[in-house]
Amino acid sequence: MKQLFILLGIVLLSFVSRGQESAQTIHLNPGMLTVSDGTDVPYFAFNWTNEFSLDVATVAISPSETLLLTVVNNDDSEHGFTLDGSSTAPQIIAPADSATFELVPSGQSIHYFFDHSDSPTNKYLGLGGMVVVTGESDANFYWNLRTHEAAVNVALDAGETIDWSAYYPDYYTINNLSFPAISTDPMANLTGEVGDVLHIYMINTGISMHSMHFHGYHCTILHSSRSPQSVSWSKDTFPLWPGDGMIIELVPNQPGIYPVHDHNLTAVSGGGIYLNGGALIMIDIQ
Amino acid sequence: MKHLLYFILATFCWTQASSQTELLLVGQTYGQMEMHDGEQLFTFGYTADYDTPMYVPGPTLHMIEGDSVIIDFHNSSMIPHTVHLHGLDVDQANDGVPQTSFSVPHQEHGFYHLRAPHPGTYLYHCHFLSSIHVQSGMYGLVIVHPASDPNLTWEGGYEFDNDFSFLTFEFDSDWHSFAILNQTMGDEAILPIFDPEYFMINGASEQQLADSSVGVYSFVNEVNHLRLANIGFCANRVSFPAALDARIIASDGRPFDEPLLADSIWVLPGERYDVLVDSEVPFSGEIIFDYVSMNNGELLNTQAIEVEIELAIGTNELAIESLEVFPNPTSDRLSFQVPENDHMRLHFQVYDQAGKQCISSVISASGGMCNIDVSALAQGSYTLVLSSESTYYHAQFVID
Ligand SMILES: [Cu+2]
Ligand SMILES: [Cu+2]
Repeated sequence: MKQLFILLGIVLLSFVSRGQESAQTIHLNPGMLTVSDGTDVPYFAFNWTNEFSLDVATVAISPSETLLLTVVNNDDSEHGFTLDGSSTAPQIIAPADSATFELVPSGQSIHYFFDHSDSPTNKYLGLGGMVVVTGESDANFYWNLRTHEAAVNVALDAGETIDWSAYYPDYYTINNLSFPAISTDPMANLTGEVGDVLHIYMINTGISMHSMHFHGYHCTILHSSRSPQSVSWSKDTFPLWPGDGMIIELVPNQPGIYPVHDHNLTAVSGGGIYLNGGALIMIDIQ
Repeated sequence: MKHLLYFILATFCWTQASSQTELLLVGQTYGQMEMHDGEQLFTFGYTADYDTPMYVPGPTLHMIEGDSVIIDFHNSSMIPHTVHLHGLDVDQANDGVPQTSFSVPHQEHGFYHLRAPHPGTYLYHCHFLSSIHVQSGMYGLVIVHPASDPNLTWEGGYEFDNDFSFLTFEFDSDWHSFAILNQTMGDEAILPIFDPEYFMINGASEQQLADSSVGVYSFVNEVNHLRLANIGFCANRVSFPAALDARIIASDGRPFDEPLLADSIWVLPGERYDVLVDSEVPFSGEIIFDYVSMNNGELLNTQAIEVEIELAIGTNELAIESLEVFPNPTSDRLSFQVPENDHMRLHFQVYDQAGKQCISSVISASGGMCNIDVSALAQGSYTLVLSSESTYYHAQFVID
């Protein structure tokens, strides 16, 4: 009888620690991006449906959940898929095929997913996103940072080889939007009240580095995929390498409207014009 | 001599800061800087008064924790400017962003009010057409000192003997033409492709660094506080010689719970890191600054600054004596006469030529001969250091 209890206990425990399963499906969709000169060039996105959209899927689970993420390849050529932190190895997914990736999270975190094939071309062409494991907060915000060089997209479309060591972005986006359009994205636009606990999930799915500087506030690093030693540091400027994810906590101690921007000041521009888009977003605290 | 100069300079700044809650900054647009290759670049900048010639970076603003500070910014140039106090988390009205705060037209004064609650390393810079005006040279450091002691990192923090700041940035001559710098078309400006030719630390590069004593100069066993800050558009990787035992203790004006022990640190645009370094033995070497493109990760340039750590020649410092060791050269063991007869613990260390510590131990001895095992050391020459409470003994030996 005692043994049965112990057995039951173990079964129960493993069930609890394994947590509930969260099965989610994202679609790898081919589509088009309009570059600065007005021409349409091929682009890709991970979306919730089989319809291409620049509104990229951000997959969210709670720390007690196990994620089963199914990826459907809707393109007519094969693509790779890697989910950082997953127990499932990177895979190549054939056209019209799918693959499922398991992630057992160990706490609040960000997990970068991307197409590892033909690197960095496929990453550059939009194939990156994040799985977020959320924590306790009053509100969450999601910034998927990326860069673009219009001439590179046009050259890739023409089948030319790219010298990535000379890459020089001319457009910067957050969630595929440029400032001020990003202010209309409730997932990204940072609003709240004094004393709120605001969590910002930042990922760099592009191929350039960023250094995001907050005016008005320091934030605490809760998670960093590249520099775990930086967890608990309170900073105003946050480095993000390509593929790097970081979660920061902002508890505003004063009201105001402030910018958050890349302090590589060539990045607060679009098409070589200052304050025409750029890696910039506003904070509005009441 | 360098030490003395530095000390006078530091003391002067300190006295000035502690008696002053109002700081004058003058915005100017007629500067010229000589680059290491003799090229003259047109710059903007800040000065602390009307007479001092402009230099980039501008004057370091010293503040004391908790003090109320008013910055009287006089724009004596023809185009608008602001002062953004980077990292000081001032309120919106004083933030120096033209669109959300105010900009200061030419020949007018702008007053910035703030309280600096956290000791540490910060920046100030113009935020008017910020890409252009930062590249132009409108920036400097802000250092907030703890109220109690200028040689303390923060209340309950680390004591240090010397304070050094290294502010990195780059100049691209294409950005320094009149046509590019003097743009005032509302909120917008044309940015040339950024392809810098000059990679600077405190306004110097290449041979200018040594010529203007940009480096770390101290005596053995002194704790050196290095403030690293990046106001450029490139990523910096700063690498310290292993012998300096670098401890990274704070970033962006906030202390770490635990120091991070690392021989290199990345400093990205806008970031600041506070680092402690010291050496128990004389050391001569370099701290390396790599400049890496934020666009594509390519290494663009490398600069180096001197580190000279010398024996202290002073009355209240340790006496210095040389020690005779034998056999020399040797391959497996080294012997010496223990120099003091009192019962005491003697610390000894062996350093290689790069200043890397190879052996560190303690011997309890009272006179007599001491043998140490050096069989694990590779061929080369080494320094043995033995220190007691009063005396510092050193010897050179060779492993053959
Ligand atoms: Cu200015
Ligand atoms: Cu700044």
